[in-house]
Amino acid sequence: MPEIFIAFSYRDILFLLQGALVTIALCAMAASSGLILALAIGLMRTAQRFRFLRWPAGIYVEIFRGTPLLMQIFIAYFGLSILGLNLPRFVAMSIPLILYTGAYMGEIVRAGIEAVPRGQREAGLSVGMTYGQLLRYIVTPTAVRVMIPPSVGFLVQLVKGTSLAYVVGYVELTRAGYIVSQSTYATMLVFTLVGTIYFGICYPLSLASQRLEIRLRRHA
Amino acid sequence: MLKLENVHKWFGSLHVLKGVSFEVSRGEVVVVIGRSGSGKSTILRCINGLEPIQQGRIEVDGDPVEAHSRQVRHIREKVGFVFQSFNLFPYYTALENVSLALKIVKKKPAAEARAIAEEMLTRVGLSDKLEAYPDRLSGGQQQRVAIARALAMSPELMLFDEVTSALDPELVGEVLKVMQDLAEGGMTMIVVTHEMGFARKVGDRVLFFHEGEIVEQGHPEQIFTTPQHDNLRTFIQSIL
Repeated sequence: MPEIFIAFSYRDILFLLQGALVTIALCAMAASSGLILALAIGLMRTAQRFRFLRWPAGIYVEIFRGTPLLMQIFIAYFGLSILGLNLPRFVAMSIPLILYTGAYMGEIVRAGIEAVPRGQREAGLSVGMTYGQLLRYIVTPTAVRVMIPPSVGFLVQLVKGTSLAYVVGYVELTRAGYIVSQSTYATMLVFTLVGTIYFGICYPLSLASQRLEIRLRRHA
Repeated sequence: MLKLENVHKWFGSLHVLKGVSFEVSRGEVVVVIGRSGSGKSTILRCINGLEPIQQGRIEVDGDPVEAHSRQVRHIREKVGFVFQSFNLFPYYTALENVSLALKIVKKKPAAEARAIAEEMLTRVGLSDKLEAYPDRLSGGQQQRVAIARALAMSPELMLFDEVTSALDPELVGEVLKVMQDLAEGGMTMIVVTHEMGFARKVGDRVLFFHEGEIVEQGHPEQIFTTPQHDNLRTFIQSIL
C-alpha cells in the first residue's frame, strides 16, 4: 500500500479532476445543444401539417442510432480535418456527441409528444388554440413528465459515452486516467478513482431526476 | 347559423357520411340519435373541423369550415365542443382548464379570465371545486368543467358528443341538468345522445341518423310516438 501513495501524488489527482472537468464540459455541451436538436427532431417526427418533415428526421435518427458512437467520433474527429476543417479539438469532439444526443433524445421527445392523448389535443383545438399553443400549454406538461426518466437514463449513458473520446487521444477523464496509470503504474487505484469520479457525476443526475419526478407527480 | 350541404366523409374506403344536409337556426336545440357507427359523432367532429370532409359544404354564420385551414380556429372559437371522454387538461386545475384559452386564445388579462372562469364554474355548480385537479373530480364534475370550459369562450353554438355515455348512471342527471339550463337560456345546441328522455324534453328537433344518412327528422313527439321509418321504429324499441 504505502508505495502506491508515494508514486501517486496530488498532481495526479488534480490531473484526473481536470479530465473530469473536460468530461463534464463535453456532456454539458452535448446535452444542451443536443437537446435543442432533439426538440427539432421530435417535432419533425410528429409533424402534423408538414408531414414530409418526418422522413428526413427519421433517416437521421436511424443512422445515428444504428452506428457505433465510436465510429461517429472517428469520422468527426479525423474526417473533418481530412476535409480541411481544422476545428478546435473540443468542438470536433462535441459534434458527434451532439448528433448522437440529438438522435436518442429526439426519440424521447417524440415519445413524450405522442404520450399526450389525442382527446386532449382535440380539446385544445376546440377552444381555438394554434398548434404552437397546443404544444406549449397542453403537450409540454405531459411530455416533460414522460421524458424525464428516459432522458436521465440517456444522460448517464452520455457521460460514460464521452469516455470513448480517449481513443482519439482527447484528454478527458478516461484518457487522463490512462496517462496517470502509465506514469505511476497504480493502474487499479487510478481506474478505481476514475470510476468513482464517473459515479460521482452520474449518481447526482439520477437523484435529481427522482426528486423532479416526485415533485411533478404532486400535480397529477 | 349552421348549414350543411350534401356532406360526404370517408375514412379510407369507409363511407361514413353519405350526403348529409341540414340547417340549424339560432336558439334551436337539435338532438341527433342513431346507432353507434351511424355517423352521428362524426358529423359533430366535422362541424368544428376536427375531421375534414371530402365533399359538400359546412358553413357557420356563412363562413366555410375547412379542417386544417388557418381560419378554422376562428370558427372553433364560436363553436363549443364537449367530448364523451371529457378531455380535461390533467395538469391544470378546474379553474385553469376553463381560463387557459381565455388567456391565450382570447388574450384576456389574467384577472378577467379568472373572473369569467369562476362565473362559468359557478354556473355549472362547481364554485367549490375551482382549485381541484381533474383526477380529484368525479366524472360528472369533470364533464361539467368541460362544459364550463367550452362556455367560457362565449360560443354561439355548442356541440355535445355523447357527453353522458361515459358517466356512471347516478351522475348523468347533473350533466343533463346543466345542458337543459343552457337550452332554456337560448343556447343553440346540437346534442348527440342516447338519452331519449332528454331528447324529448329539451329537443326542438330530432335527427335520426342511419348508415351515414338522415333518414328521418322532426319534432321529438312525432319522432318518438309516430316514427315512419322501419329503422327508426326498431331503434326506438331497442332503446326503450
